[in-house]
Amino acid sequence: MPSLIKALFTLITCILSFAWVPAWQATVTAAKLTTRSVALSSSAPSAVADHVFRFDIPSSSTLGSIEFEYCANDPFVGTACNAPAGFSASAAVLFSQSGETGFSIDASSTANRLVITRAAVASSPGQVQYGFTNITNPSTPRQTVYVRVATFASTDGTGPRTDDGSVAFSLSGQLSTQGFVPPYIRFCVGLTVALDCSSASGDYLNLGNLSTSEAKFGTSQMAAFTNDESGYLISLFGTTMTSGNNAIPALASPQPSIPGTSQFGINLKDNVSPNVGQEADGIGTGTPQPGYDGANFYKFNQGDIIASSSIPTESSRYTVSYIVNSSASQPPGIYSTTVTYVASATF
Amino acid sequence: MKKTQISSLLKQVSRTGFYGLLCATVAFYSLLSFIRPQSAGAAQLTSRKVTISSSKASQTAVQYDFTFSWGTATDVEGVIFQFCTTPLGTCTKPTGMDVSNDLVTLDSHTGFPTNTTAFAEQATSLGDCNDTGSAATVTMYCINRTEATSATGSGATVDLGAIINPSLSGSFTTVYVRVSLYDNNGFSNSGGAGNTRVHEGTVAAGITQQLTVNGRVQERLEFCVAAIDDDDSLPANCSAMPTTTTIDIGTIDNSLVAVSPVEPTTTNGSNDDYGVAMLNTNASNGAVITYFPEQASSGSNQLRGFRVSGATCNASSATLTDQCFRPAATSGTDLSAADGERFGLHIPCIDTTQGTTTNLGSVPDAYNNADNSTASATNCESFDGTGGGTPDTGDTFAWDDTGTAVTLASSSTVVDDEIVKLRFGSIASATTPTGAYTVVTEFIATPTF
Repeated sequence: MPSLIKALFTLITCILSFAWVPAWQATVTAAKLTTRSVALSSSAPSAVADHVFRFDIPSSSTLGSIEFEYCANDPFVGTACNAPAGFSASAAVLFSQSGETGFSIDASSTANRLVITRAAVASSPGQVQYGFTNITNPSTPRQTVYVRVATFASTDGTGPRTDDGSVAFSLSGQLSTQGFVPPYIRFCVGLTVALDCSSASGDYLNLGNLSTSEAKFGTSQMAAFTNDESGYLISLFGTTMTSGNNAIPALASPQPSIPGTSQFGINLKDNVSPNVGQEADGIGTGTPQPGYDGANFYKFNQGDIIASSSIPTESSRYTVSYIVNSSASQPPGIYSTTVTYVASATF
Repeated sequence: MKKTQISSLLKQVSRTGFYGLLCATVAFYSLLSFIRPQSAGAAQLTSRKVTISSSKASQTAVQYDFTFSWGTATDVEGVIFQFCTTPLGTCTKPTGMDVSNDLVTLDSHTGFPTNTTAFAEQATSLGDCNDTGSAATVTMYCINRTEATSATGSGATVDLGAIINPSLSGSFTTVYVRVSLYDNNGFSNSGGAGNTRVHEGTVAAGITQQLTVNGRVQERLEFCVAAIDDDDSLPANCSAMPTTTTIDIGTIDNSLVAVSPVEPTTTNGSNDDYGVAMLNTNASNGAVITYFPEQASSGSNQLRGFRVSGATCNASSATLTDQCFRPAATSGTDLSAADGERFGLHIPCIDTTQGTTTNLGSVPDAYNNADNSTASATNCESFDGTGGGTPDTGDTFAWDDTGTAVTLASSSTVVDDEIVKLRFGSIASATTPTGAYTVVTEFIATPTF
């Protein structure tokens, strides 16, 4: 009888031993955390950034702590880990959590190993998310960094890992884009010009036979814009109309057109006497200047500023009206002049 | 347990022990009769071998395929396969091996005289086939037939299946299979024609431990961004990526859209570079490439814009006279038709010539081509390499200066060295102040493993 009982005991012991082995093995064979990622708010080396982890817990188990270990060498959980140069999670703050919640940073955390802890309770399968802020990124550019993530039944990241998995991020990814906006002023003159100076045509204006009874007139155009913070000035250069030694007097001050009186002048307005010209157009801020800004009043004085803008401006197009009257005593001849407009900016 | 029951049990055990001892004695004497000397008269089988389907210890359902030849014409009506730990002498079945005939199958045979006359399994002991049967302890598997045709044999085969390999003795176990051919179906070797073991020979099979090869594929992410000269070929991988990170689009005015790469001239100051972001990851759930402009460290307002360092810009990004470019709309702006100054980012294509996958895509419309395609073949080729120029009509640029990472491209599975090409484009207004403008853009790859 004793030998039989002993045999039975041995048999039972043997059976229990075999039954225990797989159970023990199950506790040390961690399952994989799935659909896992880490998103950084900045991938710049040495930047202080947010690191937000997301992963799925595959099955229900006791969950007391989660480990996030930053390694430069490889993602294999449980192997030697080389801390990335310059990396520090010492000042990390757990600013968000979802799924399994109630965690806080455990005191056992180190510069490259964050452990969050809570009272150990059963977890539910599903996605979790943990966001850390105030993490200093590694300092080596273009480095791939692995973060080994593991869950524990213990509350301090010790003992067998329940589930694990790794994620990776890269410290690269910055581009600097440069460009230079030069100082520019665009100015064009012609009988007709496009508002943006993309075209200009004509440089000769024939006022025909002068008359003592009516004003002769014509127009030209000019447009200007600049990015000079002081804007631009358009100045008038040239002489009155001359024929040899004979000249038609220029209007030194704004005067109306008086047929029968020799006079030559311009303005930048839409006039009715005579009916010539048009107002400046375009979205620019440039305007005709005094002396040349009164409808039906004309002036011609070399060196005058006839239009300007005091700020950087889009294009303004000005129509210059020329009028010439002749008195009965005006000597005959072919009268002509060359008028030059100069636009300038100070930059 | 009651005493009477225990007593009964002990009696039963005693009876069982008695019968067990009796059986063992019978078996011992029977075993003695199995041990037969090697026949001096039988000729050797030649070119003999056994091919096994698995050398794994204790493997079940293993195929043992025998091949042998014999040079003397004879009829073959019986074959014995005896599985032993030694080629000669007393046969001991290798530990753990099972060749019992309730398990083993005769799958086929070829090359025997009048082979169409099939062999069949001899289920019980008969003649020299005296250690066969359904017990796991038997060493013999025997087959026989009635066929008087006599001939030589060349490359005859017998395929046996469903054998259980022995366990290991140390790091290996050798199985010796003694093969005997008889000219009678009674496995008689009493002498004379029709009662002779005519040929015999031994083959061997090695049962050994398996090699377990472990490997780990680590999570992999290689992501790199660089400014690359338009005249240079694309890098094969991130290791070959240049370290340059500055893209200079040179002079910007209001007459022409400046788009990287801008071919350098003697006056425009550009560097002919454009941006590339290369991704390689084995993340099975794919990856996302995002970007955001970094915040300038000096100045005020529009700090994530294309701006002059330290400039005080207007709080409204609509202003055209401060030293901050208006951003291209987050919904996309066609710069060639832009209403004044704009700055933005565009993805002309995703090059797939350096890797093996074509998985990156899903470029948002705002950053996409007019045809909503960034396919490598059709779009990277039209990315002409002559530098800069005007984007295709309808190509849109966008710029998100909120600081929130914006997705530029993504995949739902692995990515092998795919390159997202990045073009920065700008046009000034007539009033955009002079100055050196810059912005630093950060790109982030987030794989999901």
